[in-house]
Amino acid sequence: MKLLGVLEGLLFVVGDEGVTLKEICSTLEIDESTARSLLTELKSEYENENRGIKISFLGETFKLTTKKEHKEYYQKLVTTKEAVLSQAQLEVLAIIAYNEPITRIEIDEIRGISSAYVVKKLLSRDLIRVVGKSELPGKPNLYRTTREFLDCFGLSSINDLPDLVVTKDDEEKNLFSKKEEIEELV
Amino acid sequence: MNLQLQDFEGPFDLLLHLVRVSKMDIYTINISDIIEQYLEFINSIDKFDIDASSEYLVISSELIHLKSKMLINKQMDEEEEDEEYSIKSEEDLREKLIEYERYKSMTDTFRTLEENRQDYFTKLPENLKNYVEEKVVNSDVSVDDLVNAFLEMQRRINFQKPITTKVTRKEFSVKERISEIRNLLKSRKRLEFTELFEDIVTKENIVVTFLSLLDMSKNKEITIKQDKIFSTIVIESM
Repeated sequence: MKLLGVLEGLLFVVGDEGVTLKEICSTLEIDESTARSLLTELKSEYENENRGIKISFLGETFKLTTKKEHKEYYQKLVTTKEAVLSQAQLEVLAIIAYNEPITRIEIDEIRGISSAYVVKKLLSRDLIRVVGKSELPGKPNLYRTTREFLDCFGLSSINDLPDLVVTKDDEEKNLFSKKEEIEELV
Repeated sequence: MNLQLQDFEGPFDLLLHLVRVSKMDIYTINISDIIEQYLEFINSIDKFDIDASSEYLVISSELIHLKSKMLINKQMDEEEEDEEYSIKSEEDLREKLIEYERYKSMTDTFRTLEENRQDYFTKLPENLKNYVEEKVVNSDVSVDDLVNAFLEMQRRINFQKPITTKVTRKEFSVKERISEIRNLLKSRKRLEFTELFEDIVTKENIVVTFLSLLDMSKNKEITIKQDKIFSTIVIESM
């Protein structure tokens, strides 16, 4: 049996949940380097303009997606635009993503306003999850972003997060440490 | 410009807006001017919905406190810290606003990423439920087995019933319990709190034991220690 076909079927079956490299290995009973080369092979086949799908690496999983250049065709099928995230939801997500794991109180402190409702909303959309309890008084929940969060923003992994804006304070600190480095060199 | 509270994501957002409108830099802006403007704005809102905007009021009071502190501190030492207030100094407020703006400024980037992600589609996973093998129960059993199992159960229940039941009510005094605990401590020095309740089943005895411990503690006979929340409570004689 040609494993390339099995891999294609597997990617179809898992849909937007995607499949990790490990899962490909255990399902197809192959080692990682074989899995990788199969993925590359299938990927390059999809690059052909006659094909309508491609393999994307989103939220740490491989999944089949349509191609960007075809969007205008599919958007005709979409009657209601998918609910976009509100300003408050984006703020809370950004704070969690750059500080995870973090408690709700810490989010509130940064925003100067209660985020209880927003956090609940994000939990129900699976964009964040509870990963444990903090040692702070009252043992509050600790939150982290999920794979769905990464996918929602088209990110492969948490390392792909856009860099946080550098503030003047940071710049000064950096300059200072650089100066020290230079002094050390001298 | 006619602004509503609904236009803002919170008091920090409002403060940042005021900084922006004044065409100043957050690093150089005069904090007391901004406080003034904030309070003016809050006062100007005609219908103040207390539920929706309590956080704005909290920050109002914090800012009033900060402002008065700034006035006094011109002559006094800076060192005085107020634990009750979340905004501790001019610098603190500045830092909080800068911190908030960092994340706020990221939201545009995330918004763009989110929009770009909607340029391509995925499908839901296939339903593979039909392929899940159901555990087949070994069907090699008959109605007789069921009846026998039921009879066996009834027999066991009969065993559990006490043969004769005699109700005696034993008075259990705090005094007695104290001397019991004392004896235990003589031989052991250290006792775990839960040990004392191990053989006790009645509510009355639990209460008596607890009272005894409180009493002994009050008389400085024992010390009760707990390292951290929910850990074991240790009782030691003094």
